[in-house]
Amino acid sequence: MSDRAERLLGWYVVGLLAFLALPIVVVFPAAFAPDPTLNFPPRGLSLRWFKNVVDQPQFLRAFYVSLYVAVVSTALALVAGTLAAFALVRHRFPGRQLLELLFVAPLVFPAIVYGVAMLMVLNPMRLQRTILGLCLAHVVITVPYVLRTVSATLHGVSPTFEESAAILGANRWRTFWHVTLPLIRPGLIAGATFSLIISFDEFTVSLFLTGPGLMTLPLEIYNYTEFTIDPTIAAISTVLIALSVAIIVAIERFLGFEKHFQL
Amino acid sequence: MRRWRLGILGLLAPAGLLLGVLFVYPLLNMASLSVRSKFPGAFTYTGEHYAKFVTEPYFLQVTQTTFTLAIVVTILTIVLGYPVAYYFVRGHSRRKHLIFLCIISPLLVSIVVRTIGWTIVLGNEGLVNNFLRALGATREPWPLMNNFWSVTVGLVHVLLPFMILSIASVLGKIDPALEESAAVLGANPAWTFWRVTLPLSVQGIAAGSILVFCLTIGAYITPWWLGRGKVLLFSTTIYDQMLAIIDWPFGSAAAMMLVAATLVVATVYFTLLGRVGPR
Amino acid sequence: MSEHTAYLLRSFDKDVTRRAVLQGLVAMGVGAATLTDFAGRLARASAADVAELTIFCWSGLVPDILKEASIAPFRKTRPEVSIKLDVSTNAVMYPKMLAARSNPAISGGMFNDIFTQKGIADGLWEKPNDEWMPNKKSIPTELLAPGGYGVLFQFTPFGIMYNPDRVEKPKSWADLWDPKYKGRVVMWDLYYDAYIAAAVISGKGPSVEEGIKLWAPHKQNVGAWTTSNSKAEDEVARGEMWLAPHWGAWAEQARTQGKKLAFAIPKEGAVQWGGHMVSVTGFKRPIVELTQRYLDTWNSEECQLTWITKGFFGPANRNVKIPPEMLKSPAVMTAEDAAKKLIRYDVKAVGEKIPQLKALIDRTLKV
Repeated sequence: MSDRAERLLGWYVVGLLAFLALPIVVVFPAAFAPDPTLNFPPRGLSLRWFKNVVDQPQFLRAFYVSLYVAVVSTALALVAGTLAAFALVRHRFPGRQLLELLFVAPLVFPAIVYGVAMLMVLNPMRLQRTILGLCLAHVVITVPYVLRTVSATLHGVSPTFEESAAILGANRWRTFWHVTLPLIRPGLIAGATFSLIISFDEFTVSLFLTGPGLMTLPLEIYNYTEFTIDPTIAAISTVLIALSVAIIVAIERFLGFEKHFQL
Repeated sequence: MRRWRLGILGLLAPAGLLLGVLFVYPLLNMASLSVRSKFPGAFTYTGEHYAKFVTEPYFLQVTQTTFTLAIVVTILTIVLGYPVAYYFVRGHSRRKHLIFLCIISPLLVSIVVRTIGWTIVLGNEGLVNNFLRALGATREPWPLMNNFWSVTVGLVHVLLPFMILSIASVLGKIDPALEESAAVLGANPAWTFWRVTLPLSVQGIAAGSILVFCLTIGAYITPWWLGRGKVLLFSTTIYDQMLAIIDWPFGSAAAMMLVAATLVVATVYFTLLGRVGPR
Repeated sequence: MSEHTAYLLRSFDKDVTRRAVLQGLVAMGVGAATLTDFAGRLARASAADVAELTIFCWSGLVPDILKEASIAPFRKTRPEVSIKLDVSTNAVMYPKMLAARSNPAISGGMFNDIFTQKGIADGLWEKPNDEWMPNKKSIPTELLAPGGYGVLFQFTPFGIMYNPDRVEKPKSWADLWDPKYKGRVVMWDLYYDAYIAAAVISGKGPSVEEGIKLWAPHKQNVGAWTTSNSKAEDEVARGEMWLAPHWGAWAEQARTQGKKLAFAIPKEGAVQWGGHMVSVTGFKRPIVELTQRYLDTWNSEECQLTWITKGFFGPANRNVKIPPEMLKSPAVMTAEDAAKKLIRYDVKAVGEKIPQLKALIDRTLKV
């Protein structure tokens, strides 16, 4: 890419990223103002909303639950999705296209119907309101994302790499682990990113599979906003964004961001 | 031959088993509900819920709006997102991790915060309208919220990260040497992009498109909060049936119809892609 | 050796440790999830002597009010009972209970008129036992829900909430139809009280269908539809919308939280809304008795007073004396006043026709 082209493109990207950040930028200051109605620009300075978040222990508890469920479901989805992606991309067999559709279906199926359906299925199994049931439901929801991104990347990986490794004497497992996996890394990372975020944010299905003693953060926020919409949620979002920034900066410093995306 | 087949089954087993028990089975359960006249209680088997979709013009409009929205949002995210993905992968910025952060930022805040943000910008008393009033362009506020376009903006905003990252993960695998060779052989940048880069990244666009299309069709929360009941969509109809009206037979029927229609579109898409994509 | 092979071999070194760690974490995570679950079940099984009730309640101020004025006094008389509150909304909790009927977890809770009727029709509730719910006698019979399965514990008038900076206090229900309010009215998408009011003021009696038809020529006044109190309150408070048919108690609660809102009852009167306590079927008799005894505390004088002072609700218990400063609020009135002044409608009939009514609204007012 020429320098001039890159500079022009850079301006476009800045503009678009500004669009992406716009609602956040507009709401974020309200977390620091005393007015209970979120307005822009905010008047005054106050930390009462942050104090409100700290005063209510359910938010922190729910945060841990959401985090736990997100990590566990993502891990399981990565395993199941990657294996399935291999079968669907590298092999030809009857019913392949049908399976591709099946694996995409959870994306389309209305979450509200799935939530009710899951409750009706898990209830006789006594799995409703358990963290296991919740994790399993989240894996079903996130597997399609992993499958899509890993498949897309896998299409671009020539099978000759694996064949060479086999010729050089590596067994199936080592080939997979040390040759193929690094090559599909961008797909895995994109899939994992989607999965983590989708699971952490998941609301509708979790609504049916939770209860007192098992609440996720989106649900606690929802319960709170059913009563009143005030800057407490802006405060929570501010904390989450700060956390994400910290994590990403840490990844950059210790692991190297670009290397993992193979950029 | 048999070992090969077993191998494939083994690969498919985890995902297949999981989806079989925890997706297909609940789905079939709801499908059985959709042919009942009433739930709970005594019922007769009937196809009336499905019939409603073909006979009532209201649902024709709902279907039309839903699919129009999905197509518009998908096209917009492709057009707006591809350059960002390209810059993310091929650009020489040293702050790639910050760009990544900005890309996923819409997903880090709750829907409530996003909606209030859009209300503050697009609402009757919002920034845009205040700006227009200050310019003297209008006295009555422009109704920028609670319509098809506010829903579109909100969905594009929240689905762009999916499109950008899908394209980026495929772009990242394209060997830059291919583009360099084309340049060495005398091609100008536009030709290189059109004939070399773009076709190679089609898989990324495809993955992103199917994600965005499906997510838009299934989206409930964003369209509800930004359309405020004035944008009639399949997903909001289903939500009403399941939660407010508690007419689960009808809600299930609507869900089945929606999934069937989307899978038809997806099949067409996959088939076309199979003919276009490189091997 | 080619650069690519070298690169591959280099990644071999680091990946083993990282991936092994990841693998271990996943295994631990899944293992921990199953173990925690199992341990939880064990704990529950051994604590069978201590009864644990799960009660459904609404969000906001309600959990705090219950913990202070209902759960605490109840546990003083029965320390072996522990009460867990499942906080949610009518529209979400009802489907959950319906889906979980074969193995219900919640033995009692609060629902509004419509969902109480739905529960009666769907056979979800247990009949209240007068012996276990002594406070029920203090409720005026006109206010009790038809069907006998729910017990009223609070009520509030459904009137008009407005932004006092933007509009004058509305005097009539017909003010909502004023053309100058085009696109500035928020209507509730789930409930039909506004249509009942519209039908009553036009002399057609409390009929939802007539009310919807009367709204049809004015549908452009509706700027947004809402299914949550807080969203309507937020929009009116920030001036996006100016008027909203709304419940007095919640409008007043929002006002005291600092939002720019006011509540008014139009001259033609307000519609009655009631909160009912229901006891759920599918439990053993001791649990049902405990549940109903607990629910009855919501009508105790202490709890009723808290509903009034903190929530601006009207008390169901006619013996409770309302503090004079609370009576200044238009949302608060005595049970007798409510029985005389508030507009009532056939909740049972409306509850049965919800799908048709919703369809009528969608096709008449939204296209």
